[in-house]
Amino acid sequence: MLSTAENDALTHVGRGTPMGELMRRYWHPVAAVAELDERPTKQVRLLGEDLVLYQDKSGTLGLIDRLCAHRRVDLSYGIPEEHGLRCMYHGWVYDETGQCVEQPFEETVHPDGRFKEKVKLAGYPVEELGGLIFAYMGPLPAPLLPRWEQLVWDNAVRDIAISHLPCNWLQCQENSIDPVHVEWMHTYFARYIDQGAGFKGPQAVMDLPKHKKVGFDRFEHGIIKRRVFEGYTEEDDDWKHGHPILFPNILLVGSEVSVTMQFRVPVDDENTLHVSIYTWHGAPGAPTPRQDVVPYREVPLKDENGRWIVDLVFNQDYMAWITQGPIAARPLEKLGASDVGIIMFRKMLRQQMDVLADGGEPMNVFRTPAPPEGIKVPLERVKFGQKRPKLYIPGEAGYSTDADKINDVIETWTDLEDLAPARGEGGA
Amino acid sequence: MLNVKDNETLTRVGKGTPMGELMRRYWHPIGAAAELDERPTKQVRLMGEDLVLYRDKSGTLGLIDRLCAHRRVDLSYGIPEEHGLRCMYHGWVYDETGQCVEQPFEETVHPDGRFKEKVKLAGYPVQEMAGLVFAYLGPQPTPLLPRWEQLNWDNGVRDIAISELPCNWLQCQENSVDPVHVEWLHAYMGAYRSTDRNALAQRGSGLAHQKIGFDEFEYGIIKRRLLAGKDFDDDEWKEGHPVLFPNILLVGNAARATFQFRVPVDDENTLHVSIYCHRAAPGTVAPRQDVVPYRYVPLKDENDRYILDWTFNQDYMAWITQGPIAERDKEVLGQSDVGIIMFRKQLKRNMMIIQDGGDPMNVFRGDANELLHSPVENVKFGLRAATRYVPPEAGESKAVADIEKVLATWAGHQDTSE
Repeated sequence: MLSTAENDALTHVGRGTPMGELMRRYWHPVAAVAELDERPTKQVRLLGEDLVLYQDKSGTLGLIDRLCAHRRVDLSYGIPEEHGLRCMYHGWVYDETGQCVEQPFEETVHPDGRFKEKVKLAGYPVEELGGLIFAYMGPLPAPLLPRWEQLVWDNAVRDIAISHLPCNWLQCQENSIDPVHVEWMHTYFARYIDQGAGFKGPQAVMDLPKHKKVGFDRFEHGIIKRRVFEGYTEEDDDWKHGHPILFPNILLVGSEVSVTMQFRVPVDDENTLHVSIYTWHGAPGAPTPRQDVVPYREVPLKDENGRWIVDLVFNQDYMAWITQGPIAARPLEKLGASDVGIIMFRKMLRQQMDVLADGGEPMNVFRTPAPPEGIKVPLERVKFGQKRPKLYIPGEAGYSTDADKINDVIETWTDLEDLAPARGEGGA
Repeated sequence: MLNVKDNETLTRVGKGTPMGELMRRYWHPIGAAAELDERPTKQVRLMGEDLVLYRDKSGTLGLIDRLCAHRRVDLSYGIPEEHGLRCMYHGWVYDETGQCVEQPFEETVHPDGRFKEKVKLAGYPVQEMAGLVFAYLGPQPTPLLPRWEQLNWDNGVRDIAISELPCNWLQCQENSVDPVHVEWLHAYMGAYRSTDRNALAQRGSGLAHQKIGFDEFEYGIIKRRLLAGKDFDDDEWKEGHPVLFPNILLVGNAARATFQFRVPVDDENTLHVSIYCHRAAPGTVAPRQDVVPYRYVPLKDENDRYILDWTFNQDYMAWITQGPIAERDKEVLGQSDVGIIMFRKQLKRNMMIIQDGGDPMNVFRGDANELLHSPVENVKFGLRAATRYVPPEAGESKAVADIEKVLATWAGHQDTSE
């Protein structure tokens, strides 16, 4: 339970707020590269700022204020030129720093005028990695874009799923430090939904063992969460290796075969861009299919009755987070033994805000280059005592357009078992 | 005309407001029982409170706070157990009083802990009657759920139509103490919208109001009207027509009755529940009806305009277009509105009764829950009992075949009086 002021401090992300400043020290994914192949501009809202992402004809990416400085029209309708983005209204052109570099009629009337030099929009650094475009909105110099190994693997096939969630980012991330919800929402409730969500089907039954114990440890990049299921011991992977949550807003789930990263990107105080990137890794030495473009999809959230879709793992999470409200009313919550990880995470956020206030650099801000193979993070090998199924299963609504390639990669692993599809481990 | 403050007093229904407290003394229908057959949970919003209605596997109905006490997720996605509703997020279970009765992981870690005893959501009494689920949100002890006679006809069939109206409840109910609108909104405009231009003059004049009158009675207000060409012995004046305090209209005769409940969802929304009760003629038997069907009434047409082809939808249009809360400080009342003025006074008087610690009108207590008889006209607007089903509001009724069988039992009856 938090006071209203504490809840505000952890959830408000506007410029100048403690959380807004902390979040501005990190690179955030804002789009799939493939989106700009289809249309060279995209409306982006990030940390409460309205921006436009574009790719000009030379291939340079830019992320600048969304409204033209002149008459304040939306530059997502703008025209990419060889260098920069031209406003469709009067032809002004901006470069990727936000600097105005052309004002056709002004220059006609005043060939020697210097008006354009005085016109500058905000412009933020952007970089591509793993099929995603990342943006950095904090103070310069910008730190290095973290090269988590899963984003760097070259013998891999990837898939991107983007969801627009009408709720604050923190309730999404808290879910990742909450192991017990997997037992209920992704197994007990999932079965109940499978069986018709009424009284017509058989009884809802549990197919995941009960949690006996949960544990949390701080590590270099965030928190390792651990669990012991009934019938298992602390020698099993779920406790011994545990499972990483990357500070401040990333969940990493998977094995050496496939890994999912979930980025909970704060759009504003009451909206989150949820970016899932799924990576399937080829077996050592095995060739993987060539993937020129990482495909993406926008995830549907509601069914035809206007209810949240709940028959896929991630969508079950989305339902829970969204129904907590635009900003969860933490002054009214009742935390128990299942929530000690959440309490640890909130403390860690406050500590890192303090680090920032003291002029330091918070966790996971990188200034020295990672080795070529990327930043390694420990992962379980066998999760929930289950082997990986030999089949592509979407973690959330929609379907990958590269499912065939994904299945080809899975085929390179000869020791996988032909198990019935598990319900996945998303949100775990 | 009311001042802004008086208007707020009569329309605001949140907990602690005078009208909110008055409305909390009554049972309100919040859904059809059949809705829970299809899906055992339903999101309910009643007098500004967000709730979830559920039926557990033992058949017990519960109406509790919508958000789980733990991490505040929506329990309308919860799972009904043998006893109680389980939260889908971490498995906590609540019973129908709102008491938390199970916390799986807490009990694993602290088998002797008493955390769950300290966790309680609001839980409100619910009861089924006539295919509807009724809820009571007021202070204990809970009064009796009123057993209006027509709602409890056993030799008959029923049909439920539910509308979600984006306006305050009071403008809906005021419409029922306003006889003159029938002549214009339902007759004249109804004819204007039909292709039969002759009907315009004919139907309008057929319902020309010469005089209206209102009397308070045991259960609310009797409204009376004298139509052109009729005298004071006509049913419309002599018997008159009951408006049941505080938010029910009862229209009908011995063969059929419609109850319209104007249930306050919040200050700016109303759940309009119509239940149509059709009784078989004496000596005949109505078809057996295991489940009372329901429908949600469409309000807008394909052009996003309000549907006006049915009587009730004409009313809905009028109420909704008055705004989320009608601006009574700007209205101009006349002779047609003396019933509305009487009704507002009646509301204020009953608010005073509550402030003085009393039970307002139509709160019933005691051991025996007797049937309540409210007078209705025998022959309304001079119309004989119809033998064909005419839907009063939009949408497809699933009860048409059964209703027409019941209507047919009245063939040969001169009118519907017994």
